[in-house]
Amino acid sequence: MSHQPVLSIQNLNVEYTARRGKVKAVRDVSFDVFPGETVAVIGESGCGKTTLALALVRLLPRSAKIAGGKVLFQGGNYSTPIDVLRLNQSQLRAFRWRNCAMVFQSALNALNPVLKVSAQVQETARAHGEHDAKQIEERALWLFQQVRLDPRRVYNAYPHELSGGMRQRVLLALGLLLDPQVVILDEPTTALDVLTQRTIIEVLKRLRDEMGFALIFISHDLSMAAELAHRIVTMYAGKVVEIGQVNEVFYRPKHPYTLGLMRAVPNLSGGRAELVSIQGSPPDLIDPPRGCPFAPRCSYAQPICHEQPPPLEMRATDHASACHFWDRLPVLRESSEASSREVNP
Amino acid sequence: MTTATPSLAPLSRPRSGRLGGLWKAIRQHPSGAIGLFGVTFFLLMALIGPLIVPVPRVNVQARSQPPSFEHILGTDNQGKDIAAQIVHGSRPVITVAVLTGLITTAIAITLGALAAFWGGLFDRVVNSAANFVLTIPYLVAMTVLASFIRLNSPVTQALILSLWSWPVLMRTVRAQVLSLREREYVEAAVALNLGTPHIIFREILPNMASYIAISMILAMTSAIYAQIALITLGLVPLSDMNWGRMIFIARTTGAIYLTDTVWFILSPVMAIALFQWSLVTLARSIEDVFNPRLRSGA
Amino acid sequence: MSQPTPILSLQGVHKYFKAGRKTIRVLQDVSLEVAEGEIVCLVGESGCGKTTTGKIIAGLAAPTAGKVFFEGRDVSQLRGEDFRAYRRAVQIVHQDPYASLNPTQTLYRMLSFPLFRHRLVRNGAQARARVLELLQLVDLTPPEDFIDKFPHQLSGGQRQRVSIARALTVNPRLIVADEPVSMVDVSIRVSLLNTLSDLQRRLRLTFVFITHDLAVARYFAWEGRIAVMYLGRIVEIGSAPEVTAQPQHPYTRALITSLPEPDPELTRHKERLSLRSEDIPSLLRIPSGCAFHPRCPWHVPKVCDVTLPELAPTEGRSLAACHVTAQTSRHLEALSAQKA
Repeated sequence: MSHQPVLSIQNLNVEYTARRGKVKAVRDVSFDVFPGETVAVIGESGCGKTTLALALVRLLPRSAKIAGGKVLFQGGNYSTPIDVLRLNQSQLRAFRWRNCAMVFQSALNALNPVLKVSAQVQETARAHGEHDAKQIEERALWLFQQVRLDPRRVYNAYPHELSGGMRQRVLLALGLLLDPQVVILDEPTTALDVLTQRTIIEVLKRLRDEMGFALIFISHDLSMAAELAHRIVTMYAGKVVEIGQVNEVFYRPKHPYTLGLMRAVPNLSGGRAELVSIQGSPPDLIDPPRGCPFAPRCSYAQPICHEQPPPLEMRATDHASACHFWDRLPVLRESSEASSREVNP
Repeated sequence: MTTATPSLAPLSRPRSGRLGGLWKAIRQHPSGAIGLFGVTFFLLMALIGPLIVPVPRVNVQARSQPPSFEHILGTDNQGKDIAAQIVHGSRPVITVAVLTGLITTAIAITLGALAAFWGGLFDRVVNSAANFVLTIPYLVAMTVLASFIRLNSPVTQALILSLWSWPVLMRTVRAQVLSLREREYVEAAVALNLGTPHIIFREILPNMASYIAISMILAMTSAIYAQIALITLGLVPLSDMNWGRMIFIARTTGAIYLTDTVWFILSPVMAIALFQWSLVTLARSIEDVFNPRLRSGA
Repeated sequence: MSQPTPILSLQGVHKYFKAGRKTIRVLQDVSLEVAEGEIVCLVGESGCGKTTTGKIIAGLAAPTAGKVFFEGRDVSQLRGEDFRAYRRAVQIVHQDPYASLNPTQTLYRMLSFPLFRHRLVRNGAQARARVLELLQLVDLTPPEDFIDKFPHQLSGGQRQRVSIARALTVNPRLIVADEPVSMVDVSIRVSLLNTLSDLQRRLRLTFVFITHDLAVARYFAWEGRIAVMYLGRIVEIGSAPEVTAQPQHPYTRALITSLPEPDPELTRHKERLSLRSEDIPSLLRIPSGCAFHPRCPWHVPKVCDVTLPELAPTEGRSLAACHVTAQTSRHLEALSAQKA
């Protein structure tokens, strides 16, 4: 991945206005996403991951304000980088489908219940300047096939005639209608059953390999991230605390919060793992702590952690973390040389 | 939004009682405070006003005067002080309004909660009764009733007005109870065997408190209109002094056309409008007073 | 389970709901015995009937057919104080920490109501002491900081602990926990599960733990059993390590192989059991024979779509309701008999 990033997030800050003051939901977030790459943004509720996703396509609610930073996009019809945060409304509308599609977690509400799927497909395409109905239909049917739906039946169905998993796949297909370069998924499988979730995972894997879009997915589910992502971004209290290649992050985490998450998730194979919770709760984002935001819950914390925020710096090849004592963390598993270098999920 | 607030709320806060919370709610909602002030003002006027303000007397020397230092709102066509009439006329209007609000709410809650909780035959009977009442136009019914019953006592008036106003509130109470009884904490109370009265009065109704208060206030506002309508149409004897009678007399003596008696008709209309406005303003911010989240100021 | 009387026993329990002229068969012929002090996890996807089973166990719903025995007594025959005593002995902890606590009550009120109602305390001072004790028991420490709080002042995990404390007020013997950790954050899930395990050991409680998450079930019921449900029936039941390591029923196997795991190399090289169909049948039209046959990769025509398989011993120690597994195990038995 030596070429230009398709999306480059630089020092992004987002604030919500609340009664007590400004909630700093996303703080100084920077990372790049390369073409064809899958990046998982993981973290728990309130860490700012959904706000980040909404900011990338500028769908934030009114109470939120982008307080600084850039989101540079390069690809498709844009041969030089453009700042998504500076697009005007009509450019933005085009950007949202042609360049970057967002699929929401509430698949049940995202489709209009009184319109047939076909109508929603055609309307979406028309709104973005595609007028050849026949061609759009062909494209939609092909996409439905790709997401393992019965194309004809689904195309002529009303949303209520489809199950949750089917609707989620319709939305995915709808998102891919105009061949975007970036797809953002917010908790794509949270409300779905295990077997349906598996279908979506398989569909996503195949589509991203065939169509070559970059995938950013927001999830609290480490297992999904382990399965799908090339790179992991861990967010805590609005900040990126760790970012790195998937095996690196899972086997040699360099931030105690990521390590804590790994140790808190039960596994299915092997013996019964000794699991440990992370004590305490996330900090108040109206008045975040001066030092490292994780310090109050961290077992590695030293006095310096409460005073100085650790910078997000490279600690190994393609692996950055924001921790003063990153080198004290244990290695969870030595992965084989080959697989640690190769990025091929 | 994953930026939900629960974790943002500081966990240690001093206890704050309902009164402290009320004060906080007032500070946060100045319009609600104005409403509360207005309602209190009118209630006091009805309650102790007639004891302080002397009964207005006929004075042919000072007929249809504009407001002055002596007569704040001027005088009517008989020279009686309008402000004093407003004070004395407030009591019957407000008494009937408050009584109607209370009776309507009591009927609606009892029938609605029990219909939702018991279901079955009781539920069907209550619903049919409500539907039946709603199909009868009340002004027509009042006209008929007025020829049989003397409507001069405020209690009778309130009872009859309540008879027409409970169905709407009953239906919403029933719907709310039906949805609240499905809540998990109600199921937990059932498992803990806390008993039906506990479940209705401790688990379900407190969660509807703001709703009930608002409904009661709205029942009061419609009771006022209904009352004024009855008086203005002459369906209620014009025995005592009240705002409706003032409008009735002002209208029949031509206050609408004569500019020098404009204060006579305008004063009761304004009093009604102000009282109603205060009630509605109060109702709108009452939600926050009953909401424990806001009460403790998270 | 052939030893003393099980604390709970479901025998051929059915539950049907009417939807207009149609019948929704939510539970069909569910039988289950739970020993005192045991942990049994009911696992399955939405619509499998696990929550309804929990409600029937807790006496919050009555079976359409079949019997529920609590400590050997038929629950449907219990009257008056006997029924109430049973219902107190079985408590329920719900899934949603935001809907399971009454927002208008402080923790003290919430927890003291049942104490007073059942005369477990005599006065306010006793009640307060007991409530503090209960909060301590569920690791809400120091309890003095929590007792006068309203639910909205607590985090999701803390609310779940209050739910547990409320269930404990009446000294229950069995707790039905319906997805108690599925709505709390990953990082605190484990401590909540550990609290439940501690309570189970210290108070010798019996747990029926309902979850859709096999990994959580395996962790919590490591020394107990897992029952896997599909479309209203138990399709496999056995010890937790066994069911998850050697699933016998193809549905269990599909679930386990489908689940991603928090280990990139492991999860990417897992062998998958792919299904014949993605469609989940409606409860209004449950497939004939084995309900799983339209999706089952092992399905044998004219057997699986015709005859309903019974829960039967398999080559492992768990029971599974599958013709193919049963056949394989009979085949193996025959082989070993021949050798002997």
